[in-house]
Amino acid sequence: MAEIIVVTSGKGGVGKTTSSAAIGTGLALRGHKTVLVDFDVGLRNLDLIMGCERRVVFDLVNVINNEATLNQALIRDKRTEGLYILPASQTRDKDALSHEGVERVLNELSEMFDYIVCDSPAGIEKGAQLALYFADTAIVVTNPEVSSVRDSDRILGVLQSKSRKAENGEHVKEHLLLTRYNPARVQAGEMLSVEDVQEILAIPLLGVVPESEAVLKASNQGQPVVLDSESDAGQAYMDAIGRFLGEEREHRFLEVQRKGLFSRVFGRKG
Amino acid sequence: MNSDTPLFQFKNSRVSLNELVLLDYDESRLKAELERHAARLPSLFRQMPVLLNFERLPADKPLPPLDELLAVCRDSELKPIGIRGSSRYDEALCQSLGLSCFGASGRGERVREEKPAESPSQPEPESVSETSEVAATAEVVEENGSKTRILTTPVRSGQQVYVQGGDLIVLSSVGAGAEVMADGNIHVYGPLRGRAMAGVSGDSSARIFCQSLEAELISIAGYFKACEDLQSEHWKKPVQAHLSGTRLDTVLL
Repeated sequence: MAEIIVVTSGKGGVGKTTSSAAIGTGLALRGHKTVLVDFDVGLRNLDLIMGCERRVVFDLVNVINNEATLNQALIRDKRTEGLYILPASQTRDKDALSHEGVERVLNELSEMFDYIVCDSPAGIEKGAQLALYFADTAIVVTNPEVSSVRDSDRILGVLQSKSRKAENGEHVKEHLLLTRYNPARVQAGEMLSVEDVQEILAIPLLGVVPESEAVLKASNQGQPVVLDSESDAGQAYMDAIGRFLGEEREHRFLEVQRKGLFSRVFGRKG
Repeated sequence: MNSDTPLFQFKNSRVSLNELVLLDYDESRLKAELERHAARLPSLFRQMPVLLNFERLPADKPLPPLDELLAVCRDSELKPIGIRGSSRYDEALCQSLGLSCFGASGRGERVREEKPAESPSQPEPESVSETSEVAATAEVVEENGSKTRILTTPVRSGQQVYVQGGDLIVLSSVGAGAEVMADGNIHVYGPLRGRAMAGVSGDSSARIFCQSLEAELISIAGYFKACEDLQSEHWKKPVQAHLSGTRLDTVLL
């Protein structure tokens, strides 16, 4: 039986898809058979971030409607062993997802994989609710900014009341992933600090991913940022995955990096 | 299992119930008014058991047809379980509609007619307090008939918790955009950032206690102070709020 992880946030544009791609790839790199499922029907992005947009033939909605088998729709990642992508449909909308259909697909995937990473759409409507309904674990992606924090608070409430686990009186495991963190701006008082966000949301911190040029570059190249092991964001994601798998890892990238003589001379950017 | 062990016990239990006191009757107006109320507080209305009280209906007015009245109530998700204050209805008719007949209100309240045990309209303990989204995380303390409700997890933005006829204790925080309400007192042992309304059914002796006052609004028995007025004193401090006459006062704990 696979563990179903939903990557969610409430608010849009905080880095759910980037994080889903990074987490899915990271889990596969660590040797776990993983599938990434894009629930953002109508606004399909995960395939772009994963660089497999040209290989999409069938999608999640086709499988739900029995127009294709799961094996036809699953795309095997060419870079990372044990990683598969189930894309969303771009020509449909969220109404094409049915509760029973999603359940059947997740059950089938559950037989084949160790981890199912569901990339949730933004919002708290049907698409987002279906993405989180079957989750065992939630990774809540939040930016250090008040509206994102409030929306995360809202989605945590939905998670603990409208998910299958909640309906059975159980608790969905919660993790906070803080993305786009800029220590310099925190120091200047322009951005909420890790402590501020944790104080409001009161859930365990899985990781802090610094704002990084590497993320945009990776997205545009269709390559999950964890594959760029030189980058701070890639390392931060791999740290988070280590913690997710139960390892103790110190939080890095929380302080302003002093530029040393070396980087000043060569002008390298983190 | 030993066949001598008893299968059940009869226990005396007190449940506070709401009454729908009819002052007049007009089917369409009643329907509209109930719907308006239900839209305002959906979590309260959902399957709330009520007694239909006819005591204040003018005696010269004809009694409303029971089946019609029941249908109106059920459309608004109310759950009538009995009638009170009218012997003008036929008891057999009431029973056939699954309603119990209760005596007049006032001292020495007594149930005149036992409800048939299989009655589907038995009030369930869950309906004592209703929440819109936190049902799964809440514990209801039912022993000794206490209606205090203890929440151990944070009340999140967008959630609404209402404790009918008792106190609410939140061991964690109440997030901005969350709403906690109780007929009695409200205790929040984390920061109170959302809205807290104590004494919502009119108890002016109810109080609000919190470890850190950062609320959007606090209100007792309808008298309220919004964030702007609260920020001037005791902001982010442990505070209790109570009513002095018609003024809502906050005092450091």
